[in-house]
Amino acid sequence: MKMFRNALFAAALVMGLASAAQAADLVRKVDSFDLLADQSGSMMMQAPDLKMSKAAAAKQVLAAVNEAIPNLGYKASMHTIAPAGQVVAYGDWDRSAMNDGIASLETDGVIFGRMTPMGDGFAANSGDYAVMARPTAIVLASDGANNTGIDPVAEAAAIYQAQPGVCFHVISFADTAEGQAVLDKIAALNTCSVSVKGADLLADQNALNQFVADVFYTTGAAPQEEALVLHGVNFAFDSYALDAKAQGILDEAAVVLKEKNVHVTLEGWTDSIGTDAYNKKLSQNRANAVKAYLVEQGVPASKLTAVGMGKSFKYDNATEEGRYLNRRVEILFN
Amino acid sequence: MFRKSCLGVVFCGLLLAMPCDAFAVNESKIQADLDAFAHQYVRSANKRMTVNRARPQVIKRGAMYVATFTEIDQQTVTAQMRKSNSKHFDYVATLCYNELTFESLGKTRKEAASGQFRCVKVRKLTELPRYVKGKWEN
Repeated sequence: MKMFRNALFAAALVMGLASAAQAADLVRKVDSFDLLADQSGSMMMQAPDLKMSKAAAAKQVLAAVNEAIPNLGYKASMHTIAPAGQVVAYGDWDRSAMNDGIASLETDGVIFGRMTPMGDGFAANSGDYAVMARPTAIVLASDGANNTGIDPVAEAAAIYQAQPGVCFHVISFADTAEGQAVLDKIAALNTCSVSVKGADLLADQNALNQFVADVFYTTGAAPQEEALVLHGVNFAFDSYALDAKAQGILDEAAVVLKEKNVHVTLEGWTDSIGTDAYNKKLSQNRANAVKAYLVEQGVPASKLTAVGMGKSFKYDNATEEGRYLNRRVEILFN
Repeated sequence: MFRKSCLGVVFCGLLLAMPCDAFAVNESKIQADLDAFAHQYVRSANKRMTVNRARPQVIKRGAMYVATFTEIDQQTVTAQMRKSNSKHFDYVATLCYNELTFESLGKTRKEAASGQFRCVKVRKLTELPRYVKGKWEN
């Protein structure tokens, strides 16, 4: 009996250690996320297969996703479209507060005349997205239908251009080819996107867990980012004109970019000398100049987003060497 | 004019007479210089990091404190050179390394800073050092 008890204890210990190790091995893929629920009239319509309204199904899926996200110190918020609004304010992710937000979503509201200004919704919420810690996952639960107002695909593309580090993920409740096509186009804007069917997540807990893993965390190995770092891309004093050496460096960078042929973000960084505002503007203008030069060398403009990051404190600004390292262009392969 | 032409012919003759591996030896030396430069550069960059293993940054995240620092993994440094397409320098190199971000959680600042750090992010970085006037620069 004692032997049996000891064996049971040992087994429990091993299982406990294994589960602790599993929890410890999870690594955040994103630093923040937003749950974005479509509350339009078409979402209030019944999904015959699911025996409930699409909004009710979306509510269930979002609640299950919220439940399955591991506690890895995310920041989070929740918004709606049609009408656009904030349901849970941005801050440290609190599973219970997010559940309350999800519980407050409508599931059987007015249908008639309630179109989906999805693009307008993206635009209205984009200001809130701008302050979120990067990388950011925006989890859109929608049927993609009955769009009116700004083109949602163009607006999502505009957010990608203006806000590097944001990624849209799609949970589809589409029951029309047009609705699904809109959601597919949003998902196709960036290779980071994960696109799934809401019905699959409702029916299969493994599919839901896989979606949460794909969007929110990785196991074991830490997430990887790839970048080309350029030093010595100098400009004439107080100008945005690239000097000859800088052009030579960018010629070499253009060769790499043309070989890779992927969308990249050009981040311009300065050292800490000067005011924040001056350096922000300077870095943006210089990033633009680098982009313009790379385009002249044959890199497609559509593959480049230029962002002025302002002052860098990565390296010690108290030394000339540290300041030199801080003055750099980082080309991030998205 | 005749003298200049003769000097030109002699110079070309000398070039042709040189063994082929003279150029190869020169390139080996430049590659060796690059290897030394790459390791020195990475050591120096690590030393200049504001937030490092000895001085991690600690911030409050929710109810917990999180200590982070970044460092270049020197084991991952590789550098390969090739002839440059640019008229401004003779050779260009691809200097590749992994920059790792580590994190530790704790209930207090002290606990986080002295806790078990684990790698939470890997940046695979490439730089393009240039060989100019007989030495590598970046």
